[in-house]
Amino acid sequence: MIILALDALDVRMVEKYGCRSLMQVEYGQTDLSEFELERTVVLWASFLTGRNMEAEIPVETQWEFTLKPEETFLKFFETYKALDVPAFSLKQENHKRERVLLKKYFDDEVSVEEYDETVWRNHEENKREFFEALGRFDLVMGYFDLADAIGHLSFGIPAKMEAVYRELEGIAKEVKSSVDDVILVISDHGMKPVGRYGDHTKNGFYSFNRRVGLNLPKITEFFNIIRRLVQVERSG
Amino acid sequence: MPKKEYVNIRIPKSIYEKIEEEVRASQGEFKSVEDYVEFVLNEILKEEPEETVYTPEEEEEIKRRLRSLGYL
Ligand SMILES: [Zn+2]
Repeated sequence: MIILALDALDVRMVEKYGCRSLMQVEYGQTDLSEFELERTVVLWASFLTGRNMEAEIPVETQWEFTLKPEETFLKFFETYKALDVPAFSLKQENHKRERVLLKKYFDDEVSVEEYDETVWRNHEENKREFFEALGRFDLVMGYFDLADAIGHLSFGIPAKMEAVYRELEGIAKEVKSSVDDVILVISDHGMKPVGRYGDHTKNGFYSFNRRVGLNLPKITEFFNIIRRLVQVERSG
Repeated sequence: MPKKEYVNIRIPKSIYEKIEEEVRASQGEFKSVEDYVEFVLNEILKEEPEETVYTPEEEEEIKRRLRSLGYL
């Protein structure tokens, strides 16, 4: 199984830019109504564990919060690669650098271009490692924060967001052409413009490369969906 | 109206000659090479930069949200 974990991938933006490879065979919006805030680490932790983790993850220490494999659906797989996954294997250094630059941007110490450059560099690093891992594990889960990180400072600038969605669409297309496996594309939350900036919304996204028949699934429902898919694959 | 001040600027002769042709072809719309150059440069300079579409209120709102989401 392949999971493309795309931070802030927004269902309306996928439709707006006609990203066919991201949409796959079945796609839709996720139901995040049970969450008070759309916090990235909380949502990925809830996706991984199948439980609403909002109350258990304080905002002050959220980026360092780390689950054990046996608390997550990763335990259903004999071998897995979880690349840069929040609440599990987040690359602390890379994301810290992005947050420091974000702060410096608002303090007028760096330009948006300097911030973007670091985000894109981290993205390219993950992309390399993700495609190296494809086909070598029962599950490859690759996390990409491009839409979130670029979106926070530039969601209101269409040219930039189109480039982001084209890039993510390209990754999905390449995955589709190189594996014959279940592919789940999923985001933690969506995004909306605030002037030139971008804020988290409840327009989360999911898609599968086969019909699963979901209707507005909660992000915590995927734990059991993944468990069932693994069972079906094992039995035949 | 105050009289316009002018400065001299050097451009390649080949461009000057092409502009002369354009001026001729314009059949009186441009009176001279200077007139043509001034028009074209004005057009370029009045194009607005793409990235100045935010207000201080929006910046404050996004900072507040990014703080509560744990980014700042
Ligand atoms: Zn996020």
